[in-house]
Amino acid sequence: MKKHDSATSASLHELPPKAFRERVEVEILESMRKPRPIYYIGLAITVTMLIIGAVAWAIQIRRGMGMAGINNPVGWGAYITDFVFWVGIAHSGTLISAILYLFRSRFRSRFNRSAEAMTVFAVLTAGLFPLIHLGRVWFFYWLFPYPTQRYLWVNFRSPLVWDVFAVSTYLTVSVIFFYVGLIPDLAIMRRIKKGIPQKLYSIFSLGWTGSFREWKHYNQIYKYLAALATPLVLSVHSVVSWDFAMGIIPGWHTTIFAPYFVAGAIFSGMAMVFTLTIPMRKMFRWENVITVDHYEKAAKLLLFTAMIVTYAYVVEFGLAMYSHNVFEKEQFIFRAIGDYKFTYWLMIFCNAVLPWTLFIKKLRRNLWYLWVLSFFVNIGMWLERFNIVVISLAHDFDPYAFGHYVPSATEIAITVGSFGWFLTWFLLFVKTLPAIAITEVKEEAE
Amino acid sequence: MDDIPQYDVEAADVLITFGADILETFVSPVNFIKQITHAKEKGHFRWYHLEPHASLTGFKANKRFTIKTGSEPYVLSFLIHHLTANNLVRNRLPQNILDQIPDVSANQAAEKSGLSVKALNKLATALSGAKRPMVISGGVSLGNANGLLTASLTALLQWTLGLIGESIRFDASEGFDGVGSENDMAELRNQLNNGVVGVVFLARTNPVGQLTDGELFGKALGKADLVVAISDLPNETTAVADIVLPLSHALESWGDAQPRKNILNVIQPTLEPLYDTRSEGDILLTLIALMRGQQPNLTYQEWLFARWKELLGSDAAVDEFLKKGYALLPAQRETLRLNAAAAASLLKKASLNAPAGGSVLFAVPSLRMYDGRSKQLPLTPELPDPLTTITYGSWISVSDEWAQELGVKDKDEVSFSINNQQFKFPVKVQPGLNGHVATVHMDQIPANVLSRDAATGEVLAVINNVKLEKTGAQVKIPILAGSMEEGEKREIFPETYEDLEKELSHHNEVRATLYPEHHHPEYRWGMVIDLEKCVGCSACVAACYIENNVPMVGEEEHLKGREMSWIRIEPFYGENPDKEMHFTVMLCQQCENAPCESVCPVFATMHNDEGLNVMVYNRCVGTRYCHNNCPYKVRRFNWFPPQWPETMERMLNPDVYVRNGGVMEKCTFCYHRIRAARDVAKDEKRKIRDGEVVPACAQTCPAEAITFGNLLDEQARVTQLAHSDRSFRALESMGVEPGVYYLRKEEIKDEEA
Repeated sequence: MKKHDSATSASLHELPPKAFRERVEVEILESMRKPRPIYYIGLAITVTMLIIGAVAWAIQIRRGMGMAGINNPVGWGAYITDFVFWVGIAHSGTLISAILYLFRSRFRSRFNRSAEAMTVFAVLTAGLFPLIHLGRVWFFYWLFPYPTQRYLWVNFRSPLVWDVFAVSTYLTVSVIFFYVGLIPDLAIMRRIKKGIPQKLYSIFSLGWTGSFREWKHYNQIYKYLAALATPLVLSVHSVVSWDFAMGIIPGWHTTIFAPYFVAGAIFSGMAMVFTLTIPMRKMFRWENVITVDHYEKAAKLLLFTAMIVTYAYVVEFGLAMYSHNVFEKEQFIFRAIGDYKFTYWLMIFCNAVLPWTLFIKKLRRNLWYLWVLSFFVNIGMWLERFNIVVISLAHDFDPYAFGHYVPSATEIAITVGSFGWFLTWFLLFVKTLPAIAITEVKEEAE
Repeated sequence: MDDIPQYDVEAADVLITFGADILETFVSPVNFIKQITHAKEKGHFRWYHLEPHASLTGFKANKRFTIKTGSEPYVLSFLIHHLTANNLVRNRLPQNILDQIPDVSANQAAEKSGLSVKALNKLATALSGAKRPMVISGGVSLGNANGLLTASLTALLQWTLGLIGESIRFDASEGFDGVGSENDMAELRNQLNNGVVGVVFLARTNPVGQLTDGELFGKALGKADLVVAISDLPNETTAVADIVLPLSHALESWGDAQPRKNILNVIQPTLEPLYDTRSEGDILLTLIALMRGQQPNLTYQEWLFARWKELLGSDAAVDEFLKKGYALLPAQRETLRLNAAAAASLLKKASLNAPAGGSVLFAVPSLRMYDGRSKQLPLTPELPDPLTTITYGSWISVSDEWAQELGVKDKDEVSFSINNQQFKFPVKVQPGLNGHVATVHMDQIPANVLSRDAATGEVLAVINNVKLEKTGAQVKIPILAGSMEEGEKREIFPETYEDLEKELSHHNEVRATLYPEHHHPEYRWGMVIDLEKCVGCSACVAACYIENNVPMVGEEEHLKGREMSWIRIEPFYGENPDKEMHFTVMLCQQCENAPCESVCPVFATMHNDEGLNVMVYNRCVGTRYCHNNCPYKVRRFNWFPPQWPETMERMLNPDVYVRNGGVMEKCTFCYHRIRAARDVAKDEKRKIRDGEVVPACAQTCPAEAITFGNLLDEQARVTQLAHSDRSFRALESMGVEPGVYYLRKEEIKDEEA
């Protein structure tokens, strides 16, 4: 093991450009060394989680949707919560990559690769849930418009059909964006690796030579892709929010949902970036590459979105109370003091109280604190979706049909499995691709 | 003469009932429900119900009075004396009888019964002012220590009001004249024990399980030489019988019945017996032949046809009988006289027990399972009890006051004992129960814990001085109304759907829909449900299950809140449940702008040009979005593929699709019936006539509360009712344009007492 000097980012930048570039490459590729046992242990855990989820899903398909805890009137539960949660996680990837790229934000380069990877994997995870929650999943393709002899078509009035398009578009664009950004780094890998991996890197680097002309084209396409992806950040979660806002259920039917969901998504996505990159930084000894300054900037973004989310919570309540609509009012009173008051106040604590501590600079620069906080935000944002989906359905119009829902073992297993699926992808990613964009960090030398 | 007369409630303008649960289990509830409906239709009809507990019947009366247990004789004596003294009776009772009736003043009656003097006077005025009054006592009012006295005084009140022979008819009495009481069974037990009876045939009866001293009876049966039980289901009696002969089902055998003396009903088979079974008739005919040393050559069917011909006169009459399903027999004239001496001596012998103080528990027969004999049917526990909305399991209904003293809420377990037998039941707080009063359903306790009133042969269903003790445990029972979860029970909601609607319309403007309006060339099917007539009996729910192949899913699923009923009865208890209690019938409202339709991604639910919100079951992928978006929550999801036990799949209606697991289902106004009617109409080149299509719920409703028809037809009954002053629609201001109209319960202002 190579001994590390405790040089700060500043000292790294003090190096002459060539030395800096070489040093950056070495430091970043630390992550792609031969895995240590801890990596395999981690992988074993995530794969086990994945298997648990897969088995639970198989049993659910075999026996019926009743394996989940959902009932009358709560027709959507943990699965839809998971879906919205993962779509939300998928958000900050595009935000960090595309929007911060357009704004020329420097700290972006430390996070964008892992955030983009996170986006792709989170969309892959999210995309499973609309299937998992279908009563007859074997007919999932009926949700796509395709020509049939029976002239069957999908209902374009249904937000669920919009979802199909929104999520599939987002997946396509984020995969392309991720891949295009990877090409120069794949070329570096081609240079370093030997044997079959080299061949693979060679194929996927598309013969990148790093010529001036290539860089010119690359920068252009990257810019355009960033511009193309930016509206998607807003549109995907807006569409997801309309799954609810287009419904007539009190607590769902509100115009605030699109911005509220987008802010929440970025908020949760940033938290997930912290959750993933802080341990990576430690493990791969990236202290020189990702500095505390970088995290502080990201923490400010987290704080900003937390403020928007807090505002949305207040406005939502205010709207209900001002509406004089008995059902709206009752719904929000029920959230605060009804059967689900615990999940509601835990959400408020996690999302609207705790993140405000980031106004304190000391905490903002404390990575341990940020890491722990990110867990709270992840939990809080999961609960936010749970509260919206479940509490609204549990308490809508007809008092006779009020209900109660608790996730079943199957739902918990599948939720755990979704984390296993996501983390397995991510663990494979850190050992096969550079988890920080090498060429982008190198650019800082100029 | 032992008989149960026919009470002509329909002709009455004032009805006073003492504990008689005429809408639930008293004599012939379906008949009473129909009569009440017709009485209401005729105009001025007032119904006062006096009971010590809270029953469905009481809630549906115009005014429900809670009286102390066993205090009925005081009220009745007061009424008789008061009316006699003021010369307001048609037949004055002989003085020797009047002397035997305790002279109870209004104040005494009020003190003993717990009623106000005003209320007592109100009852007296109502009776004396009525053109055709009616007084009935039954149920818990007879099943107590004062039962005999209550029954006798009621009969005397009926006599003195001139009802007997007029609106209380013995010429067409209910067919109970061959029915014995528990006393008769005790007599048989003695005979068995003394060896007087050697061979016993028990057909369609379960004395061991259903008599209060069933165990003793079972032991006595052991002394008989031969006990033959003829039964369609195994029970406690078949367990002790020497020979069990399996009985054919009513759907597999010929038979007839005489529900009233002047009515003969036919029982016709609809299928060959599935198993090797016989009807009682065939068994007995064969036995007779064998006893005579002959070969059995006559089937029960042949025997019946011969008898019918004899009874009805000709083959043509028998044909007519088979077609109609019933025939009227000549009524037997009965002249009734009041045997004053016997009545007086009866009264003299009867002891007047002081009304029970302290805590009382009532064992009441249930609307769903009576005394437990219908418990084995898979459908009965699937239907919610209308007052508590509980489906499976046992519970004890307790007054709010008592529950608060005990510190228990719904589902908290309490222990209590009846005649030294311990029970542990979860509590359901029942609005309308007052004081230390609780009720359990008879089907939930074994019959042998109750005792028999030797004076009448009735079951004593009133258990005094019951102690409830909180055990600290909680029992899961499926209470369908509201959230299954304990938690904040918040009574913020208005009392009825109509109030809900009013609340909503204050703040909601109905906005125009963004989508093009639906076009209905010929029909817009609609329904009107009269909430005044609806008694909450839940027959519609049962009918819907059977008609539409709705799966029965069992207790586990009910506990998860996954009941499958397409139509449901929702009880709403007001601030003051003594006065205000409403039932709402909730089913798919067939909205014109249906929120479920726009959200289905695959068009599995859509609008047809007859205004119906139809389901294409085999197109459904099961997103459940339609269910979430339904403001009435009337859609039902098949959480598991429905299971039909062997031979029960034969019950499935071939006209209705059997849904798969993972598929949403709901009410379609019995669309298969509409289609059948359209086929006939098309053949005859005309439109479907008003009244030609009757959905299963409307057909079954004994109260005639449900009317179905084409809302585009100005002349149709449904259209006229939909435009009545009493009409409203549930959550109308939401703009969904429901196709179901409700007629609000009539408010009666002058009934304050």
